[in-house]
Amino acid sequence: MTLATHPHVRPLAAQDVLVYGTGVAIAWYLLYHLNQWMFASFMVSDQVSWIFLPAAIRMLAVVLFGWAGVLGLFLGALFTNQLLGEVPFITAMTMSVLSALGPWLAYRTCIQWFNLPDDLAGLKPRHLLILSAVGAFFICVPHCIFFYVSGISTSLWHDLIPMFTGDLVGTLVVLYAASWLLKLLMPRKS
Amino acid sequence: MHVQFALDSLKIHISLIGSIMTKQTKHSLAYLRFLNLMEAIRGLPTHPTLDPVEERLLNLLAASWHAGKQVSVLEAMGMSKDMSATTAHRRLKTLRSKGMISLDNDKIDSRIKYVVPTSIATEYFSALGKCLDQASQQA
Repeated sequence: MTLATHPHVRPLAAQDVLVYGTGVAIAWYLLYHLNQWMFASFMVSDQVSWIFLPAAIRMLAVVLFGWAGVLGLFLGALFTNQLLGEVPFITAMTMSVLSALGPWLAYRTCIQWFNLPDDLAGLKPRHLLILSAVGAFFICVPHCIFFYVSGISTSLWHDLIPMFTGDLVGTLVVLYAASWLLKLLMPRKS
Repeated sequence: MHVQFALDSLKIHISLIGSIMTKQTKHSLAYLRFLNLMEAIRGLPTHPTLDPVEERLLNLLAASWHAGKQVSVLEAMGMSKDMSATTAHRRLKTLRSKGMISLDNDKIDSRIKYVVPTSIATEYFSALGKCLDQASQQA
């Protein structure tokens, strides 16, 4: 029995999708600007940075909210891409779709690979680390191909390593900060 | 008339209980995922932090291991005069849960267990050694 048909589990209603999607879009927007403020010196270009904190939102959004997370990521990325000003609308749309669908594909691939149920029972810390790396791969490879094909970048490989590193490091920074906060605020008594 | 009234009351009761039970047992998928995700995030691997007593016990054990001695649990419990056997035993347990030590069975007598360092403990001492080297170079 899948979780969607499980009698004790309520699938997301349209209202929930809207609420979660908006929440994810706002979180993306805030973290994007926090990243620009904190790690401006690590930016390779407007789209690529050696540390990219919003990458963590990508992973957490699809893991927690599924398609609602994808919608939020698309809206958040579209909003921030449009704010860059010089990016044409079609380019912004394509980048937003890649930004939203990449984490979803990574998540579904990893769920199949780890053989985890939809409610993620049995999720281990090492699964999160692998998911972070797979997520970074599924984001940076399609983006780099798009940058090359659309003429934004003259080399296919130029942005690959900084983008992959940025996504992976950004995700790990947020995950470890969350882990540290959880241990600090909610310590377990042994 | 009375029977019909009783049946209607029973139907209302059943539907009320049903609705309450449904509300109590229906969990959101996002919430279940959130709980499992928080548990995984909490358990992300980090370098274990040691309290001063654990550090003292680990240092004593390291000195014995360096001298090529095998240290049984019983011997480890009596290694320090500053610490009771109970405290030492408790700290051995926490050091084991933090992945700094493991226990090996004696080849002849399985009742005897030896305390052995893990790769994390070896890395820990190696990192401390590097710090000392750097400090001495800077001095």
